[in-house]
Amino acid sequence: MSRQIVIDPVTRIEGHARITIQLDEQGSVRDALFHIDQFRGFEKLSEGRPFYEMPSLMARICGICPVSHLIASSKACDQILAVRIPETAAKLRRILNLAQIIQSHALSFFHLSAPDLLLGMDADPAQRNIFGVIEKHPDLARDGIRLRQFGQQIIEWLAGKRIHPAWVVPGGVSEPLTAETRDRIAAGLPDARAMIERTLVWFKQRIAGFSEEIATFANFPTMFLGLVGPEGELEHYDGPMRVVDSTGNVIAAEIRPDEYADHIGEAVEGRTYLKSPYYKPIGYPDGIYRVGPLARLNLIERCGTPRADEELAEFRALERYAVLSSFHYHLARLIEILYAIERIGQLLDEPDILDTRVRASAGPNNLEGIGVSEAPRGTLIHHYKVDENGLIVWANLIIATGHNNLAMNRGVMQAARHFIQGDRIEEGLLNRVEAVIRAYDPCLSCSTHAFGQMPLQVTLRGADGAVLDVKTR
Amino acid sequence: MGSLIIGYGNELRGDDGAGLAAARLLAESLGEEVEVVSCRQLTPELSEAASRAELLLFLDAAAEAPGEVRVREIPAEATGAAPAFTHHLTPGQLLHLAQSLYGRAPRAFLITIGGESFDLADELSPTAQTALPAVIAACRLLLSRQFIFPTNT
Repeated sequence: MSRQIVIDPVTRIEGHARITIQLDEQGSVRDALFHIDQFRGFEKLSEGRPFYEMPSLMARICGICPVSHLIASSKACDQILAVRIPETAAKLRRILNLAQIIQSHALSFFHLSAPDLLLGMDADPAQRNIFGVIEKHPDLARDGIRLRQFGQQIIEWLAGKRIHPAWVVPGGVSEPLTAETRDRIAAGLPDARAMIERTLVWFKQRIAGFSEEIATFANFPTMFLGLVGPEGELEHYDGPMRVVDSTGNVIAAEIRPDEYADHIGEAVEGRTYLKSPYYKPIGYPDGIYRVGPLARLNLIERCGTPRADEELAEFRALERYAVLSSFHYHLARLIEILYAIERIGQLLDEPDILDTRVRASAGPNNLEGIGVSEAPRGTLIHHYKVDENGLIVWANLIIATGHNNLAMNRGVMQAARHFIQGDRIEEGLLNRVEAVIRAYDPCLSCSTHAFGQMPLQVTLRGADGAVLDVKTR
Repeated sequence: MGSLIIGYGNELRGDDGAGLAAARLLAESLGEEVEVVSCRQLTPELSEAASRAELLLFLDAAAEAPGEVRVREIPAEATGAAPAFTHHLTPGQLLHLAQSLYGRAPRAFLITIGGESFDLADELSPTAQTALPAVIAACRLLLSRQFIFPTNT
């Protein structure tokens, strides 16, 4: 009799998803699927709105990474205005984006994944949370909380508030940086740097203990996609996209934002509301690629800051070619936090950072605009078309998490096949299947308001639909 | 050590924003000796500020007893379910974090406002709106420390 295991919902991610594992008559995994059950519809509801409202509207997509949407949306609107924003405004947007990466990566690593990494995948689920981390390693928990707080604090100081700030606007930013705010941010950098350095040392010492997870957590060849700087350096705000293959060979060196649709297709599958982007020249589903911290570190030549470059060299030594295991998203995230702290310091030292000319003004001059930036989870694309009055007539968004959909599904299958055999449905094994998804840090709906409880329930069903077993936590 | 007020909820879900509305009114009327924080959820980052306060008032909406204002003391220990999903906490869990990470937790009270409607809306129902003066009065009474720190008065 074939059986089905449903993990619903997947825990410690942003949003609501479930995993279905189908067993065959011998109890081996026949199929495993990752489903997103929530529907948002932001592209459709934005139609008819004035383009200049888009950054604020799009920021509502997410309560964890509103800054990413603000930036990509404002860049699309810059194109509609047909302006080149002041250099200082671009630098300030970069600082904001890097602060967002610090806080989001800290949330993912310390709050959501540290319970697995510190307490073990088989630990009691009642203990496998932030309180368990505090009990076992309060210093690590304190560093995680303070790092996230620092990222959020920079966002609040620059943009007025931590969630859904309106400071990034079409044409630039609404207010210049003050000397006081610059100094406050700069004063916090040494502590933040010390915290991430400690965490890197701690995590690198532990990695060897996860060899089985490294081998089976979405460890397979794919392409990698992300922005890249003009000299091959790590880039989160601007520039062309690059695609490399699993051996690190560059497949597409410079994809301009306006060329994205020639290279990225979006497949729709009936079992999930999350689209499955793929690399068009190869086709669906073989055109599988990954985005986010792991991809970014795989496709660059250097980070561009001293300590992050040292860490990048060690990271690259993990594997002969590109680093393929999605388990290493965790380490890549820590290296990006280090980079962000260093890079913010560099930007604050720029002589024109306090310049008061931070916004270009214009009316709608183009009927189309495309903004691309790097969100914490990967490449984010906003594409708008407007009518002659500047009202949105069409919008397309490719969200970072979506790019990874094909890879997340294949990763769930790989982990399920390795860890689940026959009647072995112990909680720790199911947690490993969830942890594959958690490594990608998917952001599915954090801005929607969940009312009530969402317990994790695993249901084992026979081929006739009868419930054979239920586990709840 | 001063007082800290944390109002939280979602102002786009009708009466779920009642705690935020009350926090806004208090921020306007209280002096700088009281720190007022407005947020969507209680997150671990608030634990440091909590540990520095002598008295902490949580302002939140409740999905029961529309229009009623209830006050209860929150013990400084972990309560409720573990945060399995993301990063938001209960008041008790936040106090537990403050105690565990920073060595102390303040005396704390949860003031709830019974909501009537949690549908999509950016304003409070008349029922919740009418309850706000009672929330302000309760907060002022607690902030006076007259009953909760009798040896100080």
